[in-house]
Amino acid sequence: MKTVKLEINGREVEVDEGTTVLEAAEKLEIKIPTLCAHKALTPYGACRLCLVEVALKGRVPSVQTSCTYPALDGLKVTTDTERIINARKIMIELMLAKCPDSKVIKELAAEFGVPGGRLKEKKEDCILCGLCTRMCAERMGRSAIGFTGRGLNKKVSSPFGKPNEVCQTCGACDFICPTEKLIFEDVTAYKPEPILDEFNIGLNKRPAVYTLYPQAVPNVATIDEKLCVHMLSGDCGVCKEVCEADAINYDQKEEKIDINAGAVILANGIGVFDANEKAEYGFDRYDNVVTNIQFERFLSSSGPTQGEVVRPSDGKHPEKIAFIQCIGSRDPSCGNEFCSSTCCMASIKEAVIAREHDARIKPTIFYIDIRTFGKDFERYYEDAKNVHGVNFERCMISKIYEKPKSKNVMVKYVDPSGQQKEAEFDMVVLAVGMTDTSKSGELVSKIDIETNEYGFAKVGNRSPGCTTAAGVFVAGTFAEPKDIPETVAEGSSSAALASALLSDSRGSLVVKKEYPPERDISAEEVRIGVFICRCGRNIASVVDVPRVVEFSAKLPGVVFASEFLYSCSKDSLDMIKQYIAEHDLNRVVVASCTPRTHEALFRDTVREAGLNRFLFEMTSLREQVSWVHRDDPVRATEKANELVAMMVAKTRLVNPLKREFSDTVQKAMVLGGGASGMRAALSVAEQGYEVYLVEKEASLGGHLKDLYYNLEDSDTASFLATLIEKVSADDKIHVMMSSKLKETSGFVGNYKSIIGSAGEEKKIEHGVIIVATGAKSYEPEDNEFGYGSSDSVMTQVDLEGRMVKKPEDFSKPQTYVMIQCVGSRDEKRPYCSRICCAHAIKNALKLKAFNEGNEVIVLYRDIRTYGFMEKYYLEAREKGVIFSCYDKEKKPEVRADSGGMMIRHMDRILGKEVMFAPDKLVLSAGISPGDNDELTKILKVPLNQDGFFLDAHAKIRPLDFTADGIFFCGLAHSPRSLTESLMQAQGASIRGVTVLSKEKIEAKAITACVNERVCTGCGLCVTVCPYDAREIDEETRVAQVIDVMCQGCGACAVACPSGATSHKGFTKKEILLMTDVAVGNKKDKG
Amino acid sequence: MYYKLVVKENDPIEAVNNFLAGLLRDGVVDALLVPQETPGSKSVVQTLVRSEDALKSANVFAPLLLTNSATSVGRITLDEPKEKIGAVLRSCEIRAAIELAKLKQLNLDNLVIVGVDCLGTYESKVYKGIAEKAQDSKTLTLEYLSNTVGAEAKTSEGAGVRGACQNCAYPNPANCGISINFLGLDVKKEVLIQIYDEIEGLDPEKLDLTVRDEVSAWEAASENCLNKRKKSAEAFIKKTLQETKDISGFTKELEQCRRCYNCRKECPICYCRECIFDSRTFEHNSEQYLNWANRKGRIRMPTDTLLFHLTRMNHMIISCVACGQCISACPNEIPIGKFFKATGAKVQEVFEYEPGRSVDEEIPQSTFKEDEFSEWGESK
Repeated sequence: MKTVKLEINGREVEVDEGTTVLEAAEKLEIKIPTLCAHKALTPYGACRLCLVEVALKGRVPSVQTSCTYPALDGLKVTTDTERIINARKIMIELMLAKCPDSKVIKELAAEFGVPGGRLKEKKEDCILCGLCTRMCAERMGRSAIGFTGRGLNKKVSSPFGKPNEVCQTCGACDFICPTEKLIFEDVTAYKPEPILDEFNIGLNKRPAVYTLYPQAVPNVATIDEKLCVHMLSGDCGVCKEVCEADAINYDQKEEKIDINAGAVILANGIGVFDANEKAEYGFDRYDNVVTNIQFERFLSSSGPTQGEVVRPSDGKHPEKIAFIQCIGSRDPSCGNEFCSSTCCMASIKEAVIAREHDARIKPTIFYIDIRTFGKDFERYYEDAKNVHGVNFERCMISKIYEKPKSKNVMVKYVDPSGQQKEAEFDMVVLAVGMTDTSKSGELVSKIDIETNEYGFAKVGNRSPGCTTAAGVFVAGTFAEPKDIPETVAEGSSSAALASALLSDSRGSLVVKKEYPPERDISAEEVRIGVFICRCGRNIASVVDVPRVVEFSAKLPGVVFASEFLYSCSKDSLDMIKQYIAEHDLNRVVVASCTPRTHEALFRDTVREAGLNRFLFEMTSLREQVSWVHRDDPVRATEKANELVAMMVAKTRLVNPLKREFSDTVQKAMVLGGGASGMRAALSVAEQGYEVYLVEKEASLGGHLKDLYYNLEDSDTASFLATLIEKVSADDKIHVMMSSKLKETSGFVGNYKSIIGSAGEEKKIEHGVIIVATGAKSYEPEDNEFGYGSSDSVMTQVDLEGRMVKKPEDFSKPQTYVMIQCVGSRDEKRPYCSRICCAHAIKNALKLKAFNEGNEVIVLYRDIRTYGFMEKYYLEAREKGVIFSCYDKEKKPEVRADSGGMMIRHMDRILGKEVMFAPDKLVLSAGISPGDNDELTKILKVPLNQDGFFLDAHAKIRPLDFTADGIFFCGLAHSPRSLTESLMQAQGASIRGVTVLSKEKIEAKAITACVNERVCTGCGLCVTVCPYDAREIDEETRVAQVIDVMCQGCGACAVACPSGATSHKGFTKKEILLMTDVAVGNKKDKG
Repeated sequence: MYYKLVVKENDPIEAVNNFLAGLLRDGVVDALLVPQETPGSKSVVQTLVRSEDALKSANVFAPLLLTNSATSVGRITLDEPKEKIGAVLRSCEIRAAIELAKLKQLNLDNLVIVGVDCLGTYESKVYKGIAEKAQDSKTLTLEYLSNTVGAEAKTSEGAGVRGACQNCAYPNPANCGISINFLGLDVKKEVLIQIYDEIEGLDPEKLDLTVRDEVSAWEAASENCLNKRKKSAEAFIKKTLQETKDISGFTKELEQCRRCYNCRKECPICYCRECIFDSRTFEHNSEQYLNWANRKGRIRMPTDTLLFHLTRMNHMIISCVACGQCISACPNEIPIGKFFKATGAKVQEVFEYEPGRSVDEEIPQSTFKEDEFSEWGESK
């Protein structure tokens, strides 16, 4: 195509023939205001804001609208003369008088300093820009609206001002209107139906082309083909016109892909209970009744209100908010008798966060039992109550209704003292639970797995993750409702099961990337290429990118500078490689988003072009410039220049770095031979790796040896026997009995440990460590609830043992009292032991099975039979087990001696004191952490405040320590059931296998290094290093860096007083040069 | 344990020398670092001796400290010699030694520190003046010690002890195995010897020591002396901080600096093998100097004098024991040490750190507490 050259504000630009002056100016990043121009529509010249002066050679400049004037060869354009500015001001003043309330015009008036007030205001909302009429005619092919009338009477209207049946209710007219006039409803003959945003649970509208949500992976836009005008009629196509990256492809079709897989993992999640099924809560009738998921969106900064908590009815800030728990959970009336496990914690979190957003909010949570059984959850609950001012009411709601005028919601309930109460709330949040969906039903029928009575995947309780179909595994809530830490752990667990099946073909689909040989640049002069990224409009809308390119090109060492729309796109990366070859570049700087997300990609690109990957540097023009200096583009551009100058200066000094690798010892060490440790060891072995299983006692089994049956069935002993047999028979597992870990040194992939056994020491080498050292049963203190005073007072474990070993003792009907939360949820141990409620119910049911005449009374604080265990709680109540609630402040008092026993109990519901004289008292003693102190010192891993091991991240890395290569599971992690422990053990195994499966471990190249001549060996670097990567060589008394351990944090380089430690990639010379450039000491300015 | 060392013929120096000779003789130590009078002049310097004969002219009380011996102790002990080393040190030297031990520049394992009470030392120039008039170091030392009962140095008009000593709050040694104390006592008659831990080979009887239970005179005099100096130090620090409210108070003094780096060389804490100011880091290229001159109108040559002092302060201030050797070492008599004393007091207070207090106390640079400085930064 023929091109023309013209000059705008003294700068030359070359554009295709037929381009308008406005478009040519845009290419130069010269901003010309306009309200009626749109890329997808024909030029119209209506708003007259884009006026510029144009002059052909030898002619007097004339004022023209740039959106309609063609770019011509030799044309001289000026956009900012006084004459032009004045003309624009007049236009703005006229528009301001016509539409004084329009946001966009008010902004323009402010920008140009037009005060207004000289002309009579008209209070209209249309400036007759013609965007809507052009859109409707040109893009939608409808012409449902047009201009009618002449002169002063001109307006946008449907023919004859009547509802128009030609309208396709696309809403484009409303969408494109700059003054936000609502045209659509006045002209259409149909009832418009907005597209509701599914992710925000219908709280807001969304267009037909959209991104699912801000964190979506991949984070790209999608077209809703059922609603897109182009997909339905072939019209519109606006998105394709405006997409600068030219990324819209209407021809994409749904593809069917055949995958040949050896295992299937179902992690499809589960549905949300439909609040409308419990119509009594008025979800569909009352505006200010929302679900917890909707409320979560209100709290989210990416939600419909950007994190502002508002009432749907009037957008006002609510103060009194009620949370109602167990909507669709623990409710046989709607078929969901199970507990959804997560809603208590979710509501408490929402209440606390709501208060953080707005301290005026007063949340009340109405609940049956608070089930904060997860690790650290009880503490959060207590804090919510005592620190964050969340009010808790244990009661059932009898009625809720709306006050018609205020739209406030009235909640009727019975308070703990038995009084009927009514309270008024600004907003009610329904804590809806989990439920199966038809979606999973479809999946189930395709894969042919069985489901349980609630529609969840059926999973064996000794084989977590295994469905009824071989090779099909399940992870997450589709197996049972569970919170994030458990879902994440179960994700790993099921991956381990799949990995065991597929271990023979591990790595067979991996294609090794081949790189060209590295170019030796040591003798070359510095030749830097600088690439400035526009990041779409992200950077370019604030920073004058062409100017930065121009500036960069003049910097010393730079031989080439250019810009990209998106530097990270495939074609840009190819261009970078091409430029490296064309211009003999030996160092590259990209100025774009952030190294956090993109550095690795660019490093790989320069490596593909034959350069060492460390001959690349990156500086941020988005996070550091355009996002934070939106209001000052001129100085933002200056800052961008300086950042590039600094990075170019540094880049002149950078040299190739070498990446170091060390061999992985492809074996694991598992500490602890209980159920978790054995399962973890087996799982590692199943995945093809050798394991040392270290058990301190003379036999395997741990606590499982003391348990004989559980809630679901009674094969615990045979399960244990099978497990021990499997472990013993597996020749990949080396069991080390009566052994203790004495010392561990080394690093991920390469540990050396000393195991002590009967006075002898054995050295083993291994690549990873799995800690499964368990915990202890809490032993009640002397005379705690009468413990130790009589044979009739025992723990649940004791009772279980007696029932199995001496069943004859239980033939005669007797009265049993069980006390819950012994040694749990108190000042000394402020955590929930998680398993004791189920343990008590299990034993209560067993007692009832022995003899229906056995009287069992359970004194509890909250019954926490979460998930599917709820049904056993129901069963126990049906079978006549009595549950009576006590307060932490008023614990039952026990008087026990050889003569008998008397229990004084304050029943919370009755509000009265009750006395029992049972035959037996059973204490539900919780779980205490193991003696972990020694191990924390050997492995240098931390404990949490309760004495259990601390995870790297409670939610997303529940099985990892912060130190690489060490993982943990089971009771060492936190109190949990056998099944949950087994699941974690499987999960921990594959966390270890991710390390073991790599033959070599890569050390970071950007690490600390030592100038031995200057080092005094003072050891400050050793004490500050958080990764144990520094040591003093005993002979030379000089500090060393253990490369594989070094994470490149730089703490040692800062601590070193002698300047002996420096940091590769951040040397003193480089940093000083950068600061010199930054403060203008070096003439590195273009 | 407290012991009495009887002084004969009014000569405490001789009595202590006999005691020290006994340590060598009995094999309590195999080598001893001890101040002795030099043969040619009446000066007193640290010497390393291996036999009793070699310490005949020792004088542990002499009011002169030409160098802080902590550095020397480091050199002698660092390679972990198998033999037992003794070192007669004043409190400022011991405290520096403790700091160096933390920085792995000195090894305390086979070291027996013999601490000595200190009433302060003279600037070498002052000492020289006094010595010229005196018969030998012993006579001038005895004169200087003539008011030990009152715990004051006997000095003449215009010839007081060094400024650093006047403000030193450590008249008694600590962290030593043996100490020689005399404050509050009549040194013509007796000296107090303390033995802190079990020291192998040390038999008090063989060393003519008799057990002593009552040391209230020494305690009272020490406390009195300490309080007086603390008060003086407080006033001194306050005054210095006042003077240096802005940078000009500091730079004014530095105008005399000739960049000889003597302060750094004499500092017992400055332990870097190669100082960054001896490296080429601050050698700029010609264009740089010319640019600066152009921009600022004039620049002082050589450049970076202020930076040198601030860098040194930044590096070692937390461990500064305020021995004052930097002041004594300065040929142009810049009282650089006073800034270190005042700044050090502040910085050490912030970290609740006292250099030389205990070898187990970690240097703040190597510790990180999440809850510290909550009054600054984001958590505010």
